[in-house]
Amino acid sequence: MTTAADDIIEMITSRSSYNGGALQLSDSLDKLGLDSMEVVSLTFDIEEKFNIELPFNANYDVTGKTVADLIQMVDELVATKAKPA
Amino acid sequence: MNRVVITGLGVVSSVGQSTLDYWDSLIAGRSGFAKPTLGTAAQATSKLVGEVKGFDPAAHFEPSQILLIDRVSQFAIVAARQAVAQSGLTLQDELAERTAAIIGTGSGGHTTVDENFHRLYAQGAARLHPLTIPKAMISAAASQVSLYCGIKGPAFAISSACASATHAIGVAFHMVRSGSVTCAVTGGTEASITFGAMKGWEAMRIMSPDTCRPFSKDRKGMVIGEGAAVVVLEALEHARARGADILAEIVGFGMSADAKDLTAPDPNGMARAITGTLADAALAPEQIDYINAHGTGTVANDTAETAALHRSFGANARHLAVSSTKSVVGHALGAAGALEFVATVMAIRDGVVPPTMNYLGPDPDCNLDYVPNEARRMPVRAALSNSFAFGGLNAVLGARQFGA
Repeated sequence: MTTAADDIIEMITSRSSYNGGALQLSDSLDKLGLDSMEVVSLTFDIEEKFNIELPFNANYDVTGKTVADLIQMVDELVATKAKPA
Repeated sequence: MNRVVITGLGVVSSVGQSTLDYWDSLIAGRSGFAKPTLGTAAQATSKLVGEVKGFDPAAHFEPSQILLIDRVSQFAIVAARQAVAQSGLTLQDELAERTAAIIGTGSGGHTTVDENFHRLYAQGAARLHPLTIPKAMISAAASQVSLYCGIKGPAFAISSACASATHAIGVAFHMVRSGSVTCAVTGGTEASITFGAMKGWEAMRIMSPDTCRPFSKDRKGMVIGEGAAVVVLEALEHARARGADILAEIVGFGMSADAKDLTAPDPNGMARAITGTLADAALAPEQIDYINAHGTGTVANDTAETAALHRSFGANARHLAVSSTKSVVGHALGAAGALEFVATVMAIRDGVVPPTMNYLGPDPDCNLDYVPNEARRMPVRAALSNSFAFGGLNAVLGARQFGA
């Protein structure tokens, strides 16, 4: 299975308020320095790129969730979508 | 009650992206009407428009900022920055909290709406960009002006179609006069030369096939424009204490509603807004030298406005200089009243009345002095700026020379 990791890392680190440095898969999503609009904008970019719906809304708590968790979630959603009905 | 003065002006227009470039074009009667080039607007109409050409967002904003701000808010921010810079105000600390940002607009982030809904309806997009709402909302320009200028007092949008900016400046004037704020950064902005909006204007059949010739015989309608203008209003004592350059004094604001027809103008409603402004300003008709008219170039507006001026000024109407800025910049809708108020202030300050361009000769129903085709040097002691919107929403501002 291919993974979304490279694309997602690029999408995060290219954002203007990303706090810089090398991104670790173990980094917490809430510690990346992204402001609220950039988080929803990142969500949009991921959904457009992979044609999936991320189960995020204003009440979704990313505290403690890592970049690896996000990549895993995307990979699973892509895999689910690819399965024949 | 505070006296209220104007200490800063800012303009983004189809004929100049600074107050002085704009004013020079008005005086010279240099219009920039051409076929639309924005987006797919040219596919919607063959009519001429007054576009702000060569507006480069990258000259004013960081790339990451541009994505967050619709063209309508970009215009407003640029005009507001010019006005605040000219005023010399430092909007920090308590003054920031005692300053209002009140911005009129007719349609808000129309480019964002048009582009994104096209993706949704025509291209079958599954989702909209998350910035669609914050960019499109009608109050976005007011929010962005407050953000970029650091204004922390009352901030909101006013929308009354083609009178939006005049209502905004008038409300801001009354707030400074009453003492609820010390300063206001206020005006109007519009950027709705889009495929959808131009189709809407085509359907109304009031766009001119050639040019905008207000009050003239053979006038054929309006030319749609866009742009922004912002003024800084300030309590006189505050301006005086810091030695500010006072451009003019704002002295009156009148409003009315026709309560009659959604599109047809009503001279009674117009006249009530004009006489209301004179009363608010405590000015007699014979003290007014210049009227910056609503003057759209439609048969109906210009006839009704002329009748309203006769009704309000009586025998003095014949002595008024009346001109329409729309003959040069077109009708910038929610920004029009602010662009025209800037022209009014400059006419007072410089003692020059800008012309009504493209004038071919008199119409029997429009029998005032419209300053045809050539600017006129004359003292302007006091002047009115008229805005009469669709839906019968009328607003008029009064300003006079500042004399201590």
